[in-house]
Amino acid sequence: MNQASLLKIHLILILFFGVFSFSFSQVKTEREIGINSGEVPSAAKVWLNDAFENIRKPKWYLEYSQIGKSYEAKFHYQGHFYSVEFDSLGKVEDVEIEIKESEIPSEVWTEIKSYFGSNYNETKVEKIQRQLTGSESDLEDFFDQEESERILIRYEIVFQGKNQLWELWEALFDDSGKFLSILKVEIQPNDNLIF
Amino acid sequence: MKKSVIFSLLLVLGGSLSAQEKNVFFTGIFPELSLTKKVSQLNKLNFKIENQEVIFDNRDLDMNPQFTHYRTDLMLFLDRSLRPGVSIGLGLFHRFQENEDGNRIIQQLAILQRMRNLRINHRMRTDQTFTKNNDFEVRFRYRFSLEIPLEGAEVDPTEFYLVLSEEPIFSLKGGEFEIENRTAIALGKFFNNQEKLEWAVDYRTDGFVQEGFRTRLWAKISYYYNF
Repeated sequence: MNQASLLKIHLILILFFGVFSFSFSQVKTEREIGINSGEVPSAAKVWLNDAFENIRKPKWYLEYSQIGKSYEAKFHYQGHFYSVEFDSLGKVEDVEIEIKESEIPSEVWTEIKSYFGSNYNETKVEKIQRQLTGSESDLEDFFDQEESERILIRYEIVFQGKNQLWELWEALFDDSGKFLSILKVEIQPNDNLIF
Repeated sequence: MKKSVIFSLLLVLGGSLSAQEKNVFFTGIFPELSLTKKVSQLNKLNFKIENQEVIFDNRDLDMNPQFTHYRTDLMLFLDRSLRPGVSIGLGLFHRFQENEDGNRIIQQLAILQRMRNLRINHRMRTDQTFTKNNDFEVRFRYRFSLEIPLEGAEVDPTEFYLVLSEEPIFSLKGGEFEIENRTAIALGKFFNNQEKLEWAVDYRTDGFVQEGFRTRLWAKISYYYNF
């Protein structure tokens, strides 16, 4: 390889890095950032301590979306992983608990499986979350007194489904296993990891 | 000032290696450009160009800083998704290196694990290299990478992340077995779904089995563009 060719390659590289460094666009989308508990509304921290006794230090996140900002606490509690979402004022909105297939009532799981069977040739479940929605006091009673009245229970399931090809989905089912809605999940680019 | 401190450190490191073990050590800069085009729902084409320039080499008796071209590599990959996060690839590679231009065929399997707070990637490659003035070489390499978000549970647009990677490479060339190791740490910025930039320190060692233990340290800058 002669010097002229090398020079060309250098120039191309410099040009690419130089030009692209000015073209990085700052797109505004949904995002969440880790925050200290000091930045969380005290109402959220009080509710969390009332509902869950002796929880280990939760990780707090601030989420920005089109509808505004919200707070989320993530932590392990009694063998499960929890995500609790609060509005911008610290009022609890919902609680999500990661569970195993075996923790879903069998008649509900049969219903969910029948949805998979009739819509996909093959499926592989990646994550199941039990989603609990209700008023602040009802949700608190659910956790500290195990009262489930007036609590809306749903199941959010992330799964790989194959028809023509394998794709990643996030589906929502009600407490009887009836299908409610579905979203396609796109994996963020991993070109830096595979090439 | 900064430059002279860095250069002094390199002199000390290179000098000590040279004096005590006579091991080869060289270091330099390593810009990299990666362009990935989604050609169908399952297939992606990746083009990559890498350029390695040596700025210090302990074989240079004067220990002078330099700017010497070491290698320029061009790579074209066809990657086919098997499942979400799992893909196989076939690559063609050409290397420009003084008296050692080469061509390579690469086969790859990549598996991405998405965890709650990080992504783990396993990349397995086999390759066959035909190098001018050199023996035919076959290699197996396995790269384990961790991508760790620095500003939340996952990397969102405009956020920074860290990539730690470790890659042993096993090679058979002219009947001789050799091992190379590559360890890298990178700071990345995820601008959006199209653009990423990474600044890395890439530390490579080889010659573990045969004579000629060698270390190479690269300051790497990588730009990734998806379209």
